Amino acid sequence: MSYPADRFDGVSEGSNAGGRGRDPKTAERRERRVGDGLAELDQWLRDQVAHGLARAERAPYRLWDDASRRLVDASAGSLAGQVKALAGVPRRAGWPDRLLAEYALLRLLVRAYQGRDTLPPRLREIVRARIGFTMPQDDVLAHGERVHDTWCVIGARDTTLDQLTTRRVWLRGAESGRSALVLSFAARGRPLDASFKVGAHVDATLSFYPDGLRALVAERSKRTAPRRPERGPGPSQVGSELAGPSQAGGWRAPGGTSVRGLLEEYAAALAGDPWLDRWPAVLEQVRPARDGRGDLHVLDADGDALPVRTGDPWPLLAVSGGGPVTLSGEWTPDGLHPLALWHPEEGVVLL
Amino acid sequence: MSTWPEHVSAALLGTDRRRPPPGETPSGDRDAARRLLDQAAVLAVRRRAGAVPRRDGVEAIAAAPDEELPVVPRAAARRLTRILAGEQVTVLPEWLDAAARGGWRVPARLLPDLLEKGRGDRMLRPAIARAAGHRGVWLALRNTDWAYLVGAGDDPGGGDEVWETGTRQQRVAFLTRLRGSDPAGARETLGTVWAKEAAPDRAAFLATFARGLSMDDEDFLESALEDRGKDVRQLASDLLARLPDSAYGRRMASRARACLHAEFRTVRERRQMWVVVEPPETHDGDLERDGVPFHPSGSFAPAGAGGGPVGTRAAWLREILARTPLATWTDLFSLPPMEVVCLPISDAAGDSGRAARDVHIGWARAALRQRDPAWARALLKGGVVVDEPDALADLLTVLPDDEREGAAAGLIRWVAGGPELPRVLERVPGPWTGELADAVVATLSNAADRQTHRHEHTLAQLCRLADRRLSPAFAPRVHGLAGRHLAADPGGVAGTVLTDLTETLRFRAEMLKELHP
Repeated sequence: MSYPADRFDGVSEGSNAGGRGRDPKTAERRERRVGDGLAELDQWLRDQVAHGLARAERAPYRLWDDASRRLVDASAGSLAGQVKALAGVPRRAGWPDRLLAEYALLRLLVRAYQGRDTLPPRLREIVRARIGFTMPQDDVLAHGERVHDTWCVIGARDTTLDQLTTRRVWLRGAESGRSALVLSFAARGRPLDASFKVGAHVDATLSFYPDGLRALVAERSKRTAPRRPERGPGPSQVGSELAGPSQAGGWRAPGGTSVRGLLEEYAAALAGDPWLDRWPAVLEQVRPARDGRGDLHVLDADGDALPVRTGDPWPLLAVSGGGPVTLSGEWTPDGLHPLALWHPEEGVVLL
Repeated sequence: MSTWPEHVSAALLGTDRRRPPPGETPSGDRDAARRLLDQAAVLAVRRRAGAVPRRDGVEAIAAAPDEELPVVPRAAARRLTRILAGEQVTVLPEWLDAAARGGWRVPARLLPDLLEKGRGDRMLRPAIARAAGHRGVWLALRNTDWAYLVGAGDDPGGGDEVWETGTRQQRVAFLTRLRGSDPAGARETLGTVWAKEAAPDRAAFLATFARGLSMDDEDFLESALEDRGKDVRQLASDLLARLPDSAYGRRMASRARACLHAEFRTVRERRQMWVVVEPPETHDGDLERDGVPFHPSGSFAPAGAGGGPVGTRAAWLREILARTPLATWTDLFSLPPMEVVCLPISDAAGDSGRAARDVHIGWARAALRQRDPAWARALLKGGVVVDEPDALADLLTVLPDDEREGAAAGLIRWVAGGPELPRVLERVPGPWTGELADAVVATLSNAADRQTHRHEHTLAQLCRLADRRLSPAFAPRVHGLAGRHLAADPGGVAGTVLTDLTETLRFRAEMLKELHP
């Protein structure tokens, strides 16, 4: 799911957008507009299911684009992005399952928004964020949960929708084991924030959004994290080059989990946010594997496997050589999208 | 609650046509479509939260064999990343060769890009095979786009079983390796399956005999002269021609002696030994069997200054001489090679030009095939076959390392200014150092000084070769030359191409430093 681009061009989208602004009338008007837009979306979803999803296979992109545009008009920006992205679903294998799940979860979001006054505060904020209400960064920095740790940058992925590129940087705390997502935005073709190099270890205090996953950097220590003592040439030499000399830590792999551990983590996270469809994975001791149809999987030391979704499996195969590696990725309902791997000799390799 | 697939099929058809499956708890909504979506939301989240790992039907990919060689140093790996991204990409073969020579291998993470390069460029493949390590072959076995690498180097991509089950290329690699350690064993291995293999395979397998070739192979090769496959027969005769002590060699020598004989003539009151040439009158089945076809390749080519084609008789002569043991001539004339090549030559009619040319070309080919340094030296120094610089350049490869540079420099000075210069240089392997490099820099300087269009073209051609082969130690001199021309004619062709050459030489200097063993 996409997030509101509240940091686009460094300008916050208006501090009253979240309804806590100075003018309660403006906030109220927006709430009403969103409410109307969501009611319209609900009707649209209902029509899709009533007439049959089979029609989606041959439907033009316009079907979703129109629905998306109406949500933009209703100031539900995040939701609009999600609906627009659905146009790609019927072009992939196994699309009926995915499309029904997405429509069902959208309807769940609509209902959650309609019943927002009865939701616990954290869940209410999650619902609002997924619809497109931005929370001012100052609020996050002032009131968000703060966690200090040495954060390993486990991966980054850029996606472009319309004219906006979003960079997702995934972090994992060495002490806390906590996962964090730091977003940055730029107009298409413009440089993005490059302060997190994959593989680096960053000593910082993060301030979390109410969902407990997305975060802002509150303080970043000038001091870089302690480097593991070098053991001659090889690993530390080769590996640190991708992390860059200014980033400490070099090739030191982040702590990870088994396949089962990852699925448990994700299930626990879903309990707090049923719309969560992308979760940072760090898998330890996994080897590349294939099923009977030749589809790529990763297999852990316990014999548990997960499907891997990637257009280019060759860097993973080349570096692992079939042997165990630490692999990071985004776990999604359709499989693991690999981001990076750590290898004792080759260091950190972006996938 | 009903299962997920029931919900999917109801949704596909549409709730207008199919009633949604019953829900677990009665949904408040009376609308069928909304009720289906509400039930599906619960099921979807449940499915995601309850996802379980696959335990069956997934097999780990067989691990790659351990590497014997260490990965290149970090700076070298960084440079290879730049080269693969397109910077100074012409130096890639040299980088790979230097890495292989230094006992290094390419980092695994760069293999996909490297193997992709070799897919588009055949010339790169041997160098890739030398530096890609076992991991390269392991990877190539899993991607048909990179299959060229399997068996391209010493690693056949498997154990003894590849001889039974591998591709032709893998089996050739297997046999080549065996020829290196146990030529007799390889010959026997091949002998057991010889009759069953297809002709193209037999030819490919026989070609491995070039490694570890000895008189022990003679019988096998003689019988291959009767093979059904034309390529196999040709290959067998070519290999036998490299064994001067063989029966094949004796047969060729007796044919050759029928064509050449010594005669004493008195020219300007000096008694001289002459070589008198009588090309073969006829072609027969025995000659064909020994690998000299009725129309040897090149027999229709222009004969040079005299005009007209070489002709079949002269072409037979050249082929026979090329396959005759060179000792035949030192014995016949009782002279060392240096003096043999200087003997005056004429045919029966007294025309010395064409006859001398045929004989010298035949000897040059024989020296190359028999890898005979004494003859190569004599032919290069004797100043014969001047207008066949290609053949001369090939002879350089036969010379011992310490002589090659001087001989090549002599050859360059010889053809300097001529149109064949780039063609000769093309055949002189790098790195060009010392006297040879001096000669090359001098020709660069000459070509740069003349500002005609033709010389600019030659200069660009020479720079393209020097780019890859001139020793990087000559960067300062090329730089000086470039500076002079830039000052005289800013933006001119000479200054530009020489500046580019300087940059490449500097890039290579740093590259070689990083790959020093």
